[in-house]
Amino acid sequence: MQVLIKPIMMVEEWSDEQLIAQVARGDTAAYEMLYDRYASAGMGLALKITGDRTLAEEVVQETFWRVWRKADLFQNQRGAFTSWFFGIARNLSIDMLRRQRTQGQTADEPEQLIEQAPDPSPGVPETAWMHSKHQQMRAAVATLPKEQRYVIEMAYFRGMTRQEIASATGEPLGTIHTRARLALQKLRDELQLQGFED
Amino acid sequence: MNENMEELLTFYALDAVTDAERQQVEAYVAANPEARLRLDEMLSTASALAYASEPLDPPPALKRTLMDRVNADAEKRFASPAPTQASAWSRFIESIFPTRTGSLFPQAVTVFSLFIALAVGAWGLSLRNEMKSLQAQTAQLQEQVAEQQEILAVIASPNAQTFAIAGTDHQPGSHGKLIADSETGSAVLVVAGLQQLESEKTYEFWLIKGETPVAAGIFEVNESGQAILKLSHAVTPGSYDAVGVSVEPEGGSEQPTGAIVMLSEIN
Repeated sequence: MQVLIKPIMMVEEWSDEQLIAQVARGDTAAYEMLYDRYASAGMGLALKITGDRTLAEEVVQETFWRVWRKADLFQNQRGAFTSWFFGIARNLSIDMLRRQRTQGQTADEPEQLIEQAPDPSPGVPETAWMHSKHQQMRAAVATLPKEQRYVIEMAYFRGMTRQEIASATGEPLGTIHTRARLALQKLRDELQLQGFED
Repeated sequence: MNENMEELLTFYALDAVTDAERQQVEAYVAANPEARLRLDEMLSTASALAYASEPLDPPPALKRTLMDRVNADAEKRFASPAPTQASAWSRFIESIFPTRTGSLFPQAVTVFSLFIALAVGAWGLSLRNEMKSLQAQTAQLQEQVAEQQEILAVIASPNAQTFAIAGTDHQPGSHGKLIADSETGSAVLVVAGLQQLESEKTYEFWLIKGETPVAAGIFEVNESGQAILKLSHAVTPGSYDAVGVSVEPEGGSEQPTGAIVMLSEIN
């Protein structure tokens, strides 16, 4: 018996690049699709960096506002929309974090390594595809040796420069360079193995 | 190759450089296309680190506030100015009913009222049609949401088992997963990297027991070569030995007749 299964969810029928091109023309429906697609990921990233839910919400608000106002500038960027989007969210989060440090609100030491975050509960409304991406990245990070994960955590999620990382770990700069380079290479290889597509 | 600059590429990709170092790297890659390619690869990997954090929904109020702001800004920046019609309309009336004192005759008021009535009527009809279309779209979206929730339930189930499916030599770039709930038998197929097919062709998914393939559905892929399907066949532990995807004529086949593009054992 032949069973016809209609593809009930065509994954991301509109690409991010198509949507942002529409946003640049003032299409608020396309903008809302981008929000629905990436708000959770942006919020999660902002919360991980700032450690404060209120600040994370401010970051998400400001990130998406910049996406709206600067959509026409994306056309001139290299790389995917997600690189641009997550770049804005991360930079705003790091700025918030640095402001906290300056105001004497000491940030916790980056002891929590990335891969220890549990999988999201079924109650988190997220598309299956995005859920798969989060799973794949966490699985890839879990393959890194602890020292390499630490460097990635401090650089990407804490906004520390290589000199600050070397100082914080007490390791020579050359060692930090090696760990970061090997970490990114391993992540790239793992993601390719898993068929990760952004 | 400048070793110092090459070392900085990694940290540039992680955005962990000083402003001075950033300028150095940008100048370096601008003059070195191969370094630019290496940096682009690192940037792509580094940006994906965002997915290592646990996703979290912002509160609904955040979206409402944002959309209000965006809609208001869109009105200002993108709405075309409404043409001023008063003077043009007055001129039209004047051409039909020349006035003596500058005020409109009662006949002009009647014509104007008739025009408004016709316009409102047409607008109302347009709104009704739009409402029907929106209702149909809403029903379709609700159906899609329900189906997405079913898919999510399978993927997020504590009893979910995942089986990787690899591409064959026909489409080595394709890959996928069969995710099956060992308790309920519900299963979801996720594929990526498949090529677009001609209009008379379709992909067909097979569940294979021994040497007997069972047709489990046909599907299309999107522009990115991806698709997600909720299977109507139950997949319980040991029920099948392998899975595969073949290219078949439109409408599918009872048995695989075309190229097997994906095939993997699942036992």
